[in-house]
Amino acid sequence: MAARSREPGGHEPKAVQKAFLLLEAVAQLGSGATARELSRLSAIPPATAYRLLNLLVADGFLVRTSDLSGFALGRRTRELAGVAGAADPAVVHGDFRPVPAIVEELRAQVRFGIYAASYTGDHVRLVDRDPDHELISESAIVTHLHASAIGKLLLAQRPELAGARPLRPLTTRTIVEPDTLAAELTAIRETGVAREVDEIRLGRSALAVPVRDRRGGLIGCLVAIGRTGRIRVDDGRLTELLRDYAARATAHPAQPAPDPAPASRDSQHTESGLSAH
Amino acid sequence: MSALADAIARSFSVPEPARPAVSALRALGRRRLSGLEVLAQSVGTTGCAASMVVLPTVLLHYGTPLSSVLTLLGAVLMCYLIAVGITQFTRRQAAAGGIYSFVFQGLGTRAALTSGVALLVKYLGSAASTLYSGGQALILVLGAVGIQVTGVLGTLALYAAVAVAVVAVLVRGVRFAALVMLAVEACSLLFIVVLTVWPGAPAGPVPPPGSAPHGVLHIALAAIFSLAGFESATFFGPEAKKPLLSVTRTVLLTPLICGGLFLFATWAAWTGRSATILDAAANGTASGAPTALVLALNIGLACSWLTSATASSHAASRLVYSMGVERLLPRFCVTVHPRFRTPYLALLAIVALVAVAGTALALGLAPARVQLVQVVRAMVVTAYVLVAVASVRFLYRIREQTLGVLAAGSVAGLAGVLLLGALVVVERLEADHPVSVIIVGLLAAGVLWRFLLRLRRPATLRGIGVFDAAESADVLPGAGVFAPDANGDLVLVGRPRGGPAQRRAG
Repeated sequence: MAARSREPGGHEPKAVQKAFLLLEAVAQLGSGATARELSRLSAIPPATAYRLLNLLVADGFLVRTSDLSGFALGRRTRELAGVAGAADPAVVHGDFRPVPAIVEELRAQVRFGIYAASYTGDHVRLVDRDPDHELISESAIVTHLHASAIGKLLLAQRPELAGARPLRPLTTRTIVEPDTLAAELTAIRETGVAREVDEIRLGRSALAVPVRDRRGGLIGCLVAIGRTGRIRVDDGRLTELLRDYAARATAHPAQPAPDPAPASRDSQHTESGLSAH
Repeated sequence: MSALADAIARSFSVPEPARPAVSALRALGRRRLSGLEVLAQSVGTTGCAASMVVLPTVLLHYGTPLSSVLTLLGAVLMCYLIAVGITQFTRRQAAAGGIYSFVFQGLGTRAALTSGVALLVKYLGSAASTLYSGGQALILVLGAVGIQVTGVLGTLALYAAVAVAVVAVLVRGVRFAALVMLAVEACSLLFIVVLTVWPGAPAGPVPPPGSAPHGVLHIALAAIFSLAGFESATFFGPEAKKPLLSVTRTVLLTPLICGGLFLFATWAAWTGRSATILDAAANGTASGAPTALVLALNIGLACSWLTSATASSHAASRLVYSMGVERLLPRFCVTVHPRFRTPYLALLAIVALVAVAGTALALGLAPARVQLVQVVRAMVVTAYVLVAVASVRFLYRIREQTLGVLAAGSVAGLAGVLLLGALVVVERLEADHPVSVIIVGLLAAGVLWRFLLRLRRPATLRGIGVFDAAESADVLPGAGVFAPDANGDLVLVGRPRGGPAQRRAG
C-alpha cells in the first residue's frame, strides 16, 4: 500500500496480504458489499478489516457507495494488473505501428500533415511523423493530454490519466475547465473523433480518429494536423477518410514493427526474394 | 485472486459511460492541498500563537501550577476524544460542509441544520472577534513605527484594508491561502516562542497562585476554546490531495500540537519566564518593557489573530458553498472563480460581514466582545456534541461499529454535554441573561429552518448531505453500479436492489 500510515502496524507484509484478501472479497461480492460482509468473507477480524478498508479507500483502490455503507473496486486496482495476473491487452505488447505504405497512401490524398501515435503503456508516442510537415511542440502533445486531439482521444478512454493537477492553459483556447473537458470527452466517446482548434498552439488544428486492435481496444490514433482555417475539423469527408485508413493501418501490436519497405505487396515480394537466397 | 484479476481484465473492454457520474463539489479546486497545507488551515484557525499569550493570563488569574497543568491536559484529552469522533467521518468521506455534512450522515437533517447554524455563527463570530483583536494589535504596531491610526475614519480605513487583504488571499486560491496562513502562523509562533525563552529577557518573580472563584471551570473553558478550530480542516476534504488521510491526521494532530504549545506557555508563565511578555501584552510600553519587544510581540499577535480570522472565514466559505450546492442558500454562494476555483462571491460576502462586525466591535458600536465570545463558545460546543453523537449513530448505520470508537464517541458526546452544562453554569453565575436567550434562539433556529423548508420546499431536504462522492473516473470500469439519486444525479450504489439510490433524508 502506498499509504504511509502506521495503522497496519509493523506487519506490513501481512497487512498487504490482508488488503489483497479484502480486494478479492470486494471483487467477489460486487458493488455495494458492506464492511461486515467483507470482513466475514475474508476472515479478517472486523476492527482490522475496517481500518484496512478505510486505507484502501483513501488510496483509491476501493470506493465507497453514495450511502457510505458499501464498497466497489476503485480504478487504481488496475495498477495491480501485473500482480493479480490480469493484463491490459493494449499494454503488454510493444508499440502500435501503422503499416507505412497505408499511411503514405493517405498522405498522398490530403494536404495536411498525417501522423500516427501509439498509446502503449498509457503514454502518447508519435510512431509515424509526416516528413513533409514540420510538427512544432511535439513534447507538449505527450505531456499535456488535455490540449491535443491525440491526447483527448486517449483521455476519453482513460479519464484518470488527466491527473489531479489543474489543467494547464497552453493557449487561450486550451480547455482548462474540468467540466468542459468532461463534456468534450463524452462527445469524443459518442462520435469517435477527437478535435483540436488552437488549443495546443495558436493557428493549429487537428482531427484524430482511434486505431483499435482486433478486440476493440484502443491502441493508437491517426491524426491530420494543419493550419486553423485550412483544415476543417468538422470535415465529414476527411473524418471518413481517416477512419477508413485507421481500419486498414492496423499492424497488430503483437507483431514486431514492420519492415519500412514501401508497398505491402512489394515487401512480400522482397521478403520471398530474400528468403530464396 | 481470480475474481479480482477477472474484474481488472474485464475493465479494459468496458467502454467509458457516455454520461459519467461526477462529484457535486467538482467545481472547487479538487485535490490540491498537501497534508501540511491542510494542517495550516486547522492550526491557523486555532490562532495558537496568540492563545499562548492570552491563555496564561487566565491561568495566572484563576489557577495554581498543578491545577493549570491538570486542567489543560484534561481539555486536550477532551478535544482529542471529539477529534476521534470527527475522524470516523473524515476517514470515510470528504465534504465541503465539514462537520455539518457529517452530522447529517449520522443524525439527519434536523440536527444537520442545527449544527449548520451553530458552525456559521461560530466561524463568523470567531472571525469577527479575532479580526477585531488583530486590528487592534496592528494599530499598536503602526503606532510604534510612527503611523497613528486614530478616529473613526482611521479605524474604518485600517479594517477595510485588512478585509481587502484577507479577501485577496482567500480568493487567489485554496493553496495560496493555505501557504500564506502557514507562513504567517509559523512566523508568529516563532516570535512568541523566541520571546518567551529569549535568554536576554528578564524572568519575573514566580507568580502567586490565582484566587478567583470557579478557577478550574474557567481554565477548562478557556483551554478548550483555545483548542477549538482544530476541526476546520474538515471543510477542505474535497480540495485536499488525499483527504481521507490528511484531514484525519490534521484533526487528530492539531489538538496535540496546540496542547503541547499551551503546556509550554503554562510552564513559562508559572516559572516567571514569560512575565515580561505577558506584562507587555497587557500594558504595552507602560509595563517598562523595551519598545522593540512590545513591537515584536504585537507583530506576532496581529499575525496570529489575523491568520485566525482568515482561516475562520475560509472555513465558513466552504460551509456556505456546500449549503449553496444543496440549495439551502442563494445560488451566488456556489459561484466559483473560473481560474482560482474558489467560491469568491461567498468569500466576499463572508469577509464583508466579518469586517463589518469586527469594525463595529472596534468602534464600540456592537455589544461587548465578551458576549460574542460566549455565544461562539456555546455554538462550538453544540457542534461538537452533535458530531460526537452523530459518529456513534453513523457507525451503527453503516454497520462498522467497533467498541473502541463507540466508547470514544460516547465519552466525547457526554463530555460535550457536560461542557455545555458548565457554560450555562458560568452564564448563570455571571447572570448574563441576554446571552442565554441568544444561545437558545440560535439553537432553535436550525429546527425552525427545517420546519420552514419542510413546509415550503420539501424537495430541498432531500438534497442535504452533499459530499465528494465517487465519480465514474474513480471506479474500475464495470465494477460499480450507478443509479440516479433523489435529485436525479448519477451516484455509485450497491448491487441493483430496485428503485433509485437510497439517500437518507431523515
